[in-house]
Amino acid sequence: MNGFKTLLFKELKEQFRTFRLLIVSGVFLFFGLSSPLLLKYLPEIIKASGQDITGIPLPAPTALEALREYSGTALQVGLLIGVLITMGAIAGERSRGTAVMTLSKPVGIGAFVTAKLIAISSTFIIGLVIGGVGAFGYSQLLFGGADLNGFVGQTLLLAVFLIFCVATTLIFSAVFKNSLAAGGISIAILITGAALTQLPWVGRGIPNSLTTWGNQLVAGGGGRTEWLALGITVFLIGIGAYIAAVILKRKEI
Amino acid sequence: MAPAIKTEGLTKRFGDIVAVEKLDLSVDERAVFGFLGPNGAGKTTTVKMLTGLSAPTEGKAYICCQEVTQGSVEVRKNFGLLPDVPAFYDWMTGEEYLHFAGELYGMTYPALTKRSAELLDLVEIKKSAKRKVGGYSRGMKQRLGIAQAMLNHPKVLFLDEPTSALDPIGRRDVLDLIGKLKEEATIFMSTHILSDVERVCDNVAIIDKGKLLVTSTVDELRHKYARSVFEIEFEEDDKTFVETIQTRPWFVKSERAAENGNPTLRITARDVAAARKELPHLIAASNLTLLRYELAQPSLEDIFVEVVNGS
Repeated sequence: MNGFKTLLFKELKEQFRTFRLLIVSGVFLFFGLSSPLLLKYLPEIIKASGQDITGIPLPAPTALEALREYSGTALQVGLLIGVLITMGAIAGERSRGTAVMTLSKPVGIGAFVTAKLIAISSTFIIGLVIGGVGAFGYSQLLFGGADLNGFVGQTLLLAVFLIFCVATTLIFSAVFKNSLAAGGISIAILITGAALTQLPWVGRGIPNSLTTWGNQLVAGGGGRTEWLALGITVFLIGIGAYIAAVILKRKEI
Repeated sequence: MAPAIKTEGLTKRFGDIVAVEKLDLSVDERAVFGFLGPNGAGKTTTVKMLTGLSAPTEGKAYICCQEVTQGSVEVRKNFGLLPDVPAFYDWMTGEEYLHFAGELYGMTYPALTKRSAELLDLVEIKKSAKRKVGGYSRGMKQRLGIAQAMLNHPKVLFLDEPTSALDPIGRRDVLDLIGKLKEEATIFMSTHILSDVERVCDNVAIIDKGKLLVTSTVDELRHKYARSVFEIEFEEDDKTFVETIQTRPWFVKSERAAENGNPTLRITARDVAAARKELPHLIAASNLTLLRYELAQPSLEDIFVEVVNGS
């Protein structure tokens, strides 16, 4: 892949210099810290708002609940930011004209796309690590008894799923010159994927079932492992990058 | 000697619209080739096909005997491109962009550092080299665009409207630069600014509505489209002079035009040689004060308009 190293270095530098890394990490850290905090002080917050909850029994919050809460938020917010950041990765370069400047040089289109996939994925991995450290540390501090192994496993699965979201969005970013169109279609596809998890057999093999598996891990194990879904997701990430490159090769740059 | 650029029946269609139709071009090495055409003629589409950024619907293009395709990486080592609107990553500095582009060409760090410093100096943006490109003016971006296109000493340089965003001094500098580059590269310059072509190009091709109308040297074009028009300026009223020449057998018509604010008499002759022989005598006999007398040469603009309108 001609020019891959240079393109990857440029993309990584772009994540840093355009504050994307900072923003993504900041968002994950915010939810990582606020989720356990909110759960811990929820009764006080309700009381402070003037509501009478004396008759309603509230179960004592646990680290497990806090981490589950964070995971759910990280999934939704991560998916949205993933699409927002990726939708202009190729479409934006084509519409602004920077793709013409880069691709008229001895550069492989595969290298151009793969460098973007790796750099954006790296941003999410770093963001998830920072958010995860915040969430786990704060949950442990406030409630104690958090399961590190389960949470690490869940975070890894979440990272794989978010990389899948990035790869999917890259395909549509190569299809359309308009970033919004790329983002809109990607969100529609990813939400449809979430709905498919309810289907027997099909649901177990699609990337969205990784989030179910992750929730089981963070809850302390049990349930089914979804190795098939993990394999299919990794395969789809690779195929996504390939399809994006093939589409871009056929487009007017 | 094999041509530096060659196209065979190069065609591009967007649905029913034919952007470029069966373009056959051959550009010699070390030539400055002007690719002329009005807006929407198919110039940029041609440049994109020649640089592998757009796949032709039909036909083939070759740069230095290598076929250009959208996936061809090797052929891209042979050329540099300045697009019509050069776009950069705003977060990079000018110097950083040159390093990024040079690395893509596979240049080594010492060679790249030397070459980028040389080019930044040449295009006169050395002082702004450490500033973010996002803060550059259009003219500065154009200069940086020229520098990045020349980084790897390309054998062929594609310049799409290279002077369109420049002020008169910048335009002069760029044209001087193109003149110098002729010694080391073949230059394919797409433009609609005819004075630029007149100044630097050896050969021209005129394209309109996707069709190649004419391809020739600038001198051949001038000769082919030479007009038998004499321009004469007198200090006094030339009415009696016009009446005199109207009786001559070579006379076709006379008209009055204003050249640089001065009233000019334009005389069209059927037989240029006869008119050239007689006119000085007739002027001398008229007792008028002669300010200017010349056999008008058609400008490239005149030729361009004539070729495009006649197509």
